[in-house]
This record gives sequence, C-alpha cells and structure tokens, in this order.
Amino acid sequence: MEDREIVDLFLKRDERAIEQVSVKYGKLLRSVAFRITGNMETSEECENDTYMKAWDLIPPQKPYDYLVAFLSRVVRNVALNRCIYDKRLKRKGHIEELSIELEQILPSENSIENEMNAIALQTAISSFLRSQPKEKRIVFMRRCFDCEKISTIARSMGWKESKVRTMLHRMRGDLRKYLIEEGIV
Amino acid sequence: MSNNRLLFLMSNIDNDLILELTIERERYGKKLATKNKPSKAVISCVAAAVILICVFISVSFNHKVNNNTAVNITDITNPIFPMETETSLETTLSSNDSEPSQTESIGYFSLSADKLRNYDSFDDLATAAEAVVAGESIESTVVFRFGNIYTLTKLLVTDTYKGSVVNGETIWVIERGGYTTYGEYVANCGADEKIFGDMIVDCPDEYQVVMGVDGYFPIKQGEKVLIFVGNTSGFLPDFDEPLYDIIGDTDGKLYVQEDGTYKRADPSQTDDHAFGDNELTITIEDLLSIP
Repeated sequence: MEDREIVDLFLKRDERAIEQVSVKYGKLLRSVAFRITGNMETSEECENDTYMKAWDLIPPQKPYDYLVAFLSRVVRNVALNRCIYDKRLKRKGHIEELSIELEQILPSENSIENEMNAIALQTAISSFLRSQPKEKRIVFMRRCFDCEKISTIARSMGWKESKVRTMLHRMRGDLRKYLIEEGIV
Repeated sequence: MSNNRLLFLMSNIDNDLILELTIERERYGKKLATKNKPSKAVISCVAAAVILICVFISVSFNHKVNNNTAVNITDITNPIFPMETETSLETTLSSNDSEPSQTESIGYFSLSADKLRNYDSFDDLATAAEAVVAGESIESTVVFRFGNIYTLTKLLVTDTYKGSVVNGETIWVIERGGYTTYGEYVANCGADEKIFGDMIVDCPDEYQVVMGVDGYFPIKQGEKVLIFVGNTSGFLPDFDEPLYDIIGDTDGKLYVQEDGTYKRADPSQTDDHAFGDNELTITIEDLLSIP
C-alpha cells in the first residue's frame, strides 16, 4: 500500500492504518529502535509505542510525502526516551558518549531558551548537512541520528575507525563554526 | 539546552535527510549481508581443498587401522580438520531451539550437530581422551576457520588425571561456537537465513550473538571445568602451541559442583547451566581410577 493511502487510513481513523504501517515499516522501525536501545524486546515495544504515537499525531499532521521520515523520527524519540529513563537498559553509556560528542557542537551552558531558537538550530543543522558531501553526511547521520557505534560505521564503510572518528570530529568543528557564523550559537 | 535535548533535536532535522539515510541504510545493510559471498574461483579452491583433506583423512585412517592403533572418532579426524569431520555440522537451528533465546541485547543461537558417536559414559570418555584435566578458564578468544566460529580457551590446569599436562600449566582448548557480534559472525561465516531468519534484513552489526552447538555453549571465562580432550594441534594455522579439542564435541565437558563432583550440563537455550538428575556425574574417585 502506498504511503498516501496509509496516511488517508490514519486520517479516517481506520485501524487498518496501523496494520499497514506494521507490514510496510515494522522491520525498519524495530531496526532504528534496536540501534538505539540494543535490546530486541525493547525495540518491539518501541515499535508498538510508535504506532500509538502515530495514531495520536495523524491528524493533525498529514505526512503524505514523508511517512518514513515521520515514523523514523517518532521511533527514534521513543527509543531515546526508553534508553535514558529505563534503568534496566544498559545503553546509557553509549547515549552519554554521543551526548558528549554533541556537546562539542553546542556546549550545554550555551543554553537556548525558547522553541524558536530550537527550530532555527535544527534548520541550520539541516542546511549544514546538505552542504556536505553525501558520504560525510551519511556518516554524520548514522552516528548522530541512528546512534550507531563508530566501529560499526567503520566496518560497513570498509574504513578504519580512526578515519570515521576524525571525519566526525572535523564535521562537529565545522558545524559549530557554521552555527556561530549563522548567529545561532 | 541539555545535551540530551540536542540529541532529541537531531530527530527534527529535515525529512529529505532522514529519507536519504533510510535509503542508504538499506544499501549498506544489503552490502553487509552479501559482502562475504565467495567468488567462483574461491568456491573452486575450497572444493579442491576439501577433496584433498578427505583423501588425506582417508589415508590417515587406513594407516591407523593397519597399525592396530586404538581408534576413536576423534583420533581419526584430529590431524587437520577435527570438528568438521567428527560432527557434520548443519547451519540450522536444532529442533528444540526454533527461536533464538534473547536476553539483554544478546541472542543465543544453537547450531545442530550430527555426531558420529556419542560418549555417554565415564569409561568411554576416559578411554578416548588423550588427556583428562580440570581447570579454570582464564582467557578466551573467538577464532573463525573454514567459515565456522570457534572459541579458543586458555585453561589453567589445576588437576591432571590423564596425560602429560602438568598442574599449574595452561593449555589451549578449542570448541565450536562462541561469543561475538552479528556483524563479525556474518563477516566471517556468512548471513545464513536458516539461523537468523528475518534478522538478516535489519539486524545491527553490534547485536551480541552467542553461537552454541545442540544447546551447549563454549566455556566462559572464569568457569571451572573438567574436560576430556584429544590433541588437535595444527588445526589453526599460525598457532604453534599444543591445541586440544573436547571429546565428542561437548560430551567431554563437565562442570564442577558444590560437592566437588563434576557434572555434564543439560542442553540450554542460554549459557546458564542447568544440571539434570540424569546427566553424567563424575567423582574424584572415578578420575583417580583412570590408569
């Protein structure tokens, strides 16, 4: 079933929407959740929570052209929340490591108070990423969006870990510089 | 803004970037699953090597029989390719393990082995073994050979009941199976759909997997065991030290009990051992009776 048809089912409050999303994107959602939580059982729970959240969010949202991105975003947030607040999961270290890396882009004391600035920040990050070569952009996304380990990225790219590490380090520096130039930081 | 908030904020980057990542994710997932498919030339070489090994084993077997050497299954197969010929291992889940058992981010998978012979009694084991030792695992590492996973365990020998190993020495023991990650396993052994099922499509590289045989998993670091072993030195290239393998695959591996006896574990879905009443139990007196 096409994404548009699935979204229409959501809009009509037809429960087949969840069934169809599950058939088409279930594996993808579990996979995103697993990369973050590192736990199969929790990933399945995150997948189910994502369906519930999608049910609540559509409508008012109508992600006709970006259903995958919409669901990926939701499942990522659900999984991150589980990781941070579920003490049974042993994934905190991994997430904290990533947080420390992100702190190089935007130190925590450099606080942004309102949502307006948050929107400006996410727009600027997107613009910065778009300006990067595809390979670098994907590596950055895999690390910061998918929360993948550096070793995993390196292996699948056929690179040494040090290459990935250096690339990410430089990108974080460049992104910070870009945000300063744009007047966001 | 807290660090975590920036982490969450990454979720809200533009749709086209997330879509691009989704497409790329599928691409590198497929690349991972297929990158170890051997070329035709490699397949030909492996086939030729297998034929040569079979011929060698056959010659070796005939030689031993002609010399009236006490032959057991392990002896026949030890020189080059011990476990492959002793147990015809299929890359399928054993019937009682149709679903991998999972704990916190770990999947347990059990391959099935068609053994040519079982060693069910103390006498069988003691007769077949070149050495019988008790000891503690102090180090273990996973090695891959012929597209199979093995665990190489360094055992600190505390008691020797048969053979020339001296108490206090360490010996290396190799077993089928091991603790690894999905990515590492697939990179070395291939992504077998019969084992991993749907996981092949979207299982992350870092997913921890534990491979066992017939519900038995390799010796863990710190475990105290009694093992009946044969010499399989030379099985691993570039490994010059004496190497031992367990008689009957897992038959000759027993774990120390509180009362000082040793007991064979029941097959399990994880590496936590359970000991049934009917499993083989060996006492120190039994061991001291080995000639």
